[in-house]
Amino acid sequence: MYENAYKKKPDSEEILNALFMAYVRIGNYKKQQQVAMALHKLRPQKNPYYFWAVMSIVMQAYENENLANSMFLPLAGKMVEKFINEGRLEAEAEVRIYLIILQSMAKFEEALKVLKGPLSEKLVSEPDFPSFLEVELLTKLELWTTVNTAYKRLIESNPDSWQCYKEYLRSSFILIDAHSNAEEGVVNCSDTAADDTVERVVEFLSTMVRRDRDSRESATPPQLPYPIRGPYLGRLELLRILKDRNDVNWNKVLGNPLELICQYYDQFGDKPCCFSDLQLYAALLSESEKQQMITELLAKLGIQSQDGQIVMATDIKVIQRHILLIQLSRYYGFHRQMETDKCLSLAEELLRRYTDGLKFGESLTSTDQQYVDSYMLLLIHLLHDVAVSTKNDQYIWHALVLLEMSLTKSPTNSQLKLLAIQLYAQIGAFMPCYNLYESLEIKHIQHDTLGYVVCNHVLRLGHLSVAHTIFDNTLRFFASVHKDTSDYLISCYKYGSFPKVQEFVQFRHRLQNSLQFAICTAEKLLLDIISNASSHQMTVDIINGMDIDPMTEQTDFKSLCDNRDDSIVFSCEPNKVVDKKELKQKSFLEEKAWLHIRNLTARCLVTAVRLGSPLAGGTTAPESAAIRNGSDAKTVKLRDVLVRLRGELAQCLTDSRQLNKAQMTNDLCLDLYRTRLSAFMRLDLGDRFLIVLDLLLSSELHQNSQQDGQKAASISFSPAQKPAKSLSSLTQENRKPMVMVCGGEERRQIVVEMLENSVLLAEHISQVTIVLGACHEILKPIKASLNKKGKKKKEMDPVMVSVFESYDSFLSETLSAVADLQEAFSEPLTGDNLAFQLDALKIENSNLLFQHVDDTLESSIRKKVTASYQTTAAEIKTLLDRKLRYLENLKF
Amino acid sequence: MTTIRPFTCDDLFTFNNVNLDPLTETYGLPFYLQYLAHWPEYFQAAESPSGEIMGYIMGKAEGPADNWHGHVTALTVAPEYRRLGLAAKLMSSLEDISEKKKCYFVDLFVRVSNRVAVDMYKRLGYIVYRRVLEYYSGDVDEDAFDMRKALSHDTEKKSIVPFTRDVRPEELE
Repeated sequence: MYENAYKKKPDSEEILNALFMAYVRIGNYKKQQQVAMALHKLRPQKNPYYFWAVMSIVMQAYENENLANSMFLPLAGKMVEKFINEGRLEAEAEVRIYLIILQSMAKFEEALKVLKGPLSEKLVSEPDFPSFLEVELLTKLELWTTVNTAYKRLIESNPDSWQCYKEYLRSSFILIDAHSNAEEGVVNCSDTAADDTVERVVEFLSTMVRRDRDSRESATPPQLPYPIRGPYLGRLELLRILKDRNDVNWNKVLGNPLELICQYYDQFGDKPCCFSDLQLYAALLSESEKQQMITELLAKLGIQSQDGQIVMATDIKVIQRHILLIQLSRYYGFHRQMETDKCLSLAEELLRRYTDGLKFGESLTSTDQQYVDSYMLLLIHLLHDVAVSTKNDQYIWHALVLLEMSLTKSPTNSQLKLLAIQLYAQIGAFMPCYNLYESLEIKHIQHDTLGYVVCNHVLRLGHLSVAHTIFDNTLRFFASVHKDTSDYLISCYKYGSFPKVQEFVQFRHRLQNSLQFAICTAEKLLLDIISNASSHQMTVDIINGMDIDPMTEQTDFKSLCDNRDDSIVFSCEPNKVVDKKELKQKSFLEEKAWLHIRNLTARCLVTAVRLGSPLAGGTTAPESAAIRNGSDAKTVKLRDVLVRLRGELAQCLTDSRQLNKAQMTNDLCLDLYRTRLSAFMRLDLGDRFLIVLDLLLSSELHQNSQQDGQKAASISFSPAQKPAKSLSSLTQENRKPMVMVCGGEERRQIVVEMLENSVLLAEHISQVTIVLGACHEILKPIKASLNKKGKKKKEMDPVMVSVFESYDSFLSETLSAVADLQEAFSEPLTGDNLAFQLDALKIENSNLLFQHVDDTLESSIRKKVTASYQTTAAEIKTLLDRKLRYLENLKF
Repeated sequence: MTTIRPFTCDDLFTFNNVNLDPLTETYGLPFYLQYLAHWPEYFQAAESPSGEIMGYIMGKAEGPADNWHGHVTALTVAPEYRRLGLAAKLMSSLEDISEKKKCYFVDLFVRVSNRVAVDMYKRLGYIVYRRVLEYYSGDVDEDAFDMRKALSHDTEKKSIVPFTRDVRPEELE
């Protein structure tokens, strides 16, 4: 549109401007450049236009790496230099873009010259920018002595900057290595101010520590109200590096590491961040030193039990230190080694301290967290440990009761909520999860980063209508991503924020290729296909109403980005037990595999329906002749598509089977919950789906041969193997109570598996129903023509007979599976029955943990959980009722 | 121990430990992108040694003539990183930038109920310039304090002579 306007009025600045913005929207950098130059020619006095062109060239360089260094970057550089030489450079943005170009071309020395020269005067908006860029450039140039001294200066003026310490230490060790590698006498830089020996590094860090102490002790009032952690953490970081380098003196250069860590504890132990600091340096201590440290520091706190009586803390600082020590001992793995009794008695102690410590938070507002909430988190973890080791879900139930109690004291603590979500999900009650999730006010980009907290549970537990809501909310966010990012990409050009241009483009890419986005798209599609139809005609209408091309895969699996933020749950789980990075990687692979299966399933369903009703959406005159005439090209093609998709799905299942062997475990600290892949595989649902697709394909094949009077061509794929267990036996096996009593009367187990399997089976039945519907469409005219010909069945192609037979048996098997599933589901989930079962989760025990539990609180939890289970049952029942009507109409 | 650095788009993927705080609002993408595109220097994040976002500040410079000032739009620190002086550090970097931009003062709005924040701003040299009635909408609307601190360009400290009366949000320019 703007292109046409431009052709009519080539000298309108306004139109050109709009045209430039339009190209920014679609990311056509080449055209951007041309339009910007046209603008520049029109208004040569306006610098920004010229630099829009420069930036557009830089973006072409990013897009095309091959030509970046040979063409685009040098061109962009020359354009800027021309302006510099003519003295026409005006704005800070213009200097910044020049620096970007020089850095992209690896011309670091030139960039340094800019920083030292007159142009640097324009760099005013970020005070620290020039000095940080300078050391960055020096680093790139590997001028380590200069880098080292530069970082020393930066640390001196900014003694709490972690990045500076890290880089300082890095450059020091590069110098140290250079020394030891070089022959003596060749390198001589000992007269520089750089720290090129361990001794000098130790000296520097010690000076920084001394300076911090002096500034607080001697100065009155102290210059800094807070001690800074920088110098102290810097020392620990030095030890970590030395230890990693297997330096024999690592534990001597600064004295005993245990002492240093204890010193750190003395100074910062009452800060909540101390745990994450010391977590980084756990490896500096041996197992026995860790034990020793915890024991000694606990004793020093002076709040240990005396004569069986717990001594309570007298202020919140002591509480915070105590919490830290418990967190560390959990992180060091001590809790995992404890017997059940020990775990429970520690949990009891923590509960007492929690209850007592609430008094310190009486004046807090409702948006504050209680000082003692961390006790609650720790004790819930302990109870979970016990639940896992004893295989007794009663402990989970009690953990939930305690958590709900603590949420009444600390109603906005997101950690308590996240933990409660995980526990409710573990016992299969989705509704409370969702309510807690809603109370976290998740919105906008958090749909992408935090949606996973409920997303894998909502379908697993069959809350189909909430699933719709979640997917719709999520997809609404993604729908506006392109527009939102483009609008502000334009702003970047307008305000000259050139460094942000590429950042915004990458950001958009990350959002558009989000795993969560792909999952929600796929799951919503599948849900839309299976949910509402109670007849095949309805399915046909639904599919026709969708704008889908089953030929193409919607997800670009290679570009898929895992934007899930799994750092939200505070965790003290030992690294040995849970390597979060590795788990996230594993989970990502599993999600991708599952997504692939789901995408292919949806595409198969769409193709199957279209194959069955080639004229669907057109006239409703299913005369066999009409079908035949209309079919040729299109049906054949659809058939090929389905054969291909079927093959891809089969391959995908094979791959997933491999992956499934390395299946994810679900530890409490990890809220990246597994997908439904493992249960899906266990029930062989993938293979079962393939078989019904095979039935459709052979029906279609023989329909053609029947009508064309030719022999059927051979089937172009190897049919899937029938799984050992029939669908009916699976539904029979799934008939279990919700709460099982095991080990005599010892243990209770909540049979979440029952819910999950039922949902999967119901979903599978719905998919099979749709494919059978497509088969029915194909077989109907054949049956009709056979009936017309009278009872001459004997003349019928024997292969066709077998197709009809397998269709009939499939139909009756599916019908009886529906009935079985309905029945299996309804009984254990009726109101009275459930209440009775859940009542058995109460623990009778003398431990304080299980006493004084508020009965009204517990009964309100029981109500929530009951309602949630029954919602699952009701949703599945509705789905199955519809499919029952659907299937009844597919009988011949 | 902190790394103060410019806030980037990617931080929007990981700022949840900060934003799950009930008093920290999560805005739509346009809001953040607008600040990043227009005032990138005013949007800074503090990062912990373990790479976590400890807190962030977003702000802008605006206003005509002698009303040219720096504005703090949002300042937030995750619960576990409080009481380390981080907010003060982020504020001072915003003030530095405003000085360089020759602003006359820095201002901000804060819930009147947020005693901790109000006291902290007072310690940092801010005064209550005026009260804005029902500035925050919610189940119950809440008033805001409009707080200010004069910068060196305001030699006569005219900007911090308290306004004589409370104002309505619609009166704000």
